[in-house]
Amino acid sequence: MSLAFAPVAAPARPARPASSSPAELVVRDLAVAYGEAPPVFTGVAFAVGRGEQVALIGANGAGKSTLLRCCLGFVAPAAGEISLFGRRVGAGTSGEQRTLRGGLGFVAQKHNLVPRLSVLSNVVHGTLAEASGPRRWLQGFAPRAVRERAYAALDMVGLADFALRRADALSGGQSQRVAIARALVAEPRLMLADEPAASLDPAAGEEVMAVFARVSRETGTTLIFTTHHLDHALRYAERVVGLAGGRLQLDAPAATLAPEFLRGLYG
Amino acid sequence: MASTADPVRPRPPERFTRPSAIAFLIYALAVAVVVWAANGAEWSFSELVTGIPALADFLSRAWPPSLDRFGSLSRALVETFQMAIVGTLVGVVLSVPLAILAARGLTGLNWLRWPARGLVALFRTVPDLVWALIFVIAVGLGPFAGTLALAVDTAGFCGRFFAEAMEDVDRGPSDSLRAQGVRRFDTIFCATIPAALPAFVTTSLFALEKSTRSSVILGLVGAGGIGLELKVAMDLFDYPRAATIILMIFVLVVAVEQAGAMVRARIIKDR
Repeated sequence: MSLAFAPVAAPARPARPASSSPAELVVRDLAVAYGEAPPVFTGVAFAVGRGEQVALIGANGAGKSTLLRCCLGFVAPAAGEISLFGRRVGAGTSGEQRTLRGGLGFVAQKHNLVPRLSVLSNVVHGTLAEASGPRRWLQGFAPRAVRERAYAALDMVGLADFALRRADALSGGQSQRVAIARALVAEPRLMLADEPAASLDPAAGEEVMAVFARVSRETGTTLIFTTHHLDHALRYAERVVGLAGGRLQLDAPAATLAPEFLRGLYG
Repeated sequence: MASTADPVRPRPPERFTRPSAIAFLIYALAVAVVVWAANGAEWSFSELVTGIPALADFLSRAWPPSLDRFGSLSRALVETFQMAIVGTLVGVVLSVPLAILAARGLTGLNWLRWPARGLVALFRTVPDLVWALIFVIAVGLGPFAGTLALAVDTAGFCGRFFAEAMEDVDRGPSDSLRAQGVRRFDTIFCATIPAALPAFVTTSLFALEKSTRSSVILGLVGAGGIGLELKVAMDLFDYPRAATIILMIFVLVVAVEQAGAMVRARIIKDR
């Protein structure tokens, strides 16, 4: 990584080699286009090793969320492919794709909790990928082991005392921490978070990002998050990947980057 | 703002825009349709006025209401309410799977959506009196036929509104769960239905009010309830007894509506 790198003006850089740990996510020459519009991005390639914490940055419309949705299999690429845990995203039956997504935890910009249900019920829902059925629709009917796991996940984000409170009675930051617990309870190999602090005030945003970084470290879960907060990218990620001008323009360890350098990605 | 050097002040737009020729034609057509419909319906203010003395005569002969058969009428009223409760409950239970299949983008089984919507429309558009006639043929005279008619009518009513309520629910929670590999089937029951539950309950209460009113009428075709008593009283010109029945129906329907309004207010406050 060269610090003389001129972020936006520079031509696309080749993908940084995967870390020495096995790759959980491999993106190869990915391109996405919606209809006749110019492609959102092309030639995006990078790999994320197990346990890495990666920030994905870029201006609005650069394709950060689209890239995450490609990883989830919700957006089909125009070219290239994505492998998750060694298996190609988008290949196989819908059941196989669902099984593949079962290895993921996902936290969106909005917490997306079911508002009328208890916090614990919302966290129990995170285990539905491993076993379907009415016993996991509400915490009151959930098997004891599942309840205990859900409670432990809540404890990990510091909200065990809120287990029986209604989800719509929580603050924005608390709701987002419950969403993290819901993602964590399935013991995912990879957590994807799409601007998890964007709708929060600065203090709550810091709190949420700190929880992300801590649980990712403690559980060894790989973490990829998108953000517009460059300080979050530098503080809570080991590595920063940047999209600009429809290309991957940056892939470097966070420790080697300065905020003013990253601002160049925003034009 | 115009400068002081400019004597021309900007004028506000016209209060009303002049309708186009096509819009004017549509308005004229609408008026013609109303006149045509009133003519077909034999709407007559003069007959309404000449009918007022006959109405007054009916009221004078019906008053005071007769309490001779109050006990048996009360039992018929209770039967009417029982029909409404069971018919509504069965209809609501039937409507949930129909609504799930009929709602846009919920199950991913688009080929089942149109048959489900068609069935809901059939249940809703055929009047409950017609369903009662059909079920009287199928299961014979009595409250069971009426209850089945109310169940089908409720399934049509709730099926439509439940489906719309689920379509209006924020898809965020379902999408986040599906991103983690949760099946659509589970997201319907753990994310969509809980969010739509207040709408489900208020719609079900409206359905109960509707069924209570309908269950009175169904007796006219032999499908049980107090309606049959009303028909017999009117046929025998026993207007005091008819007045008693009408007042009893009024009390029941108002009581159900008030109870429903209280529960709805509680739910809306809690939402």
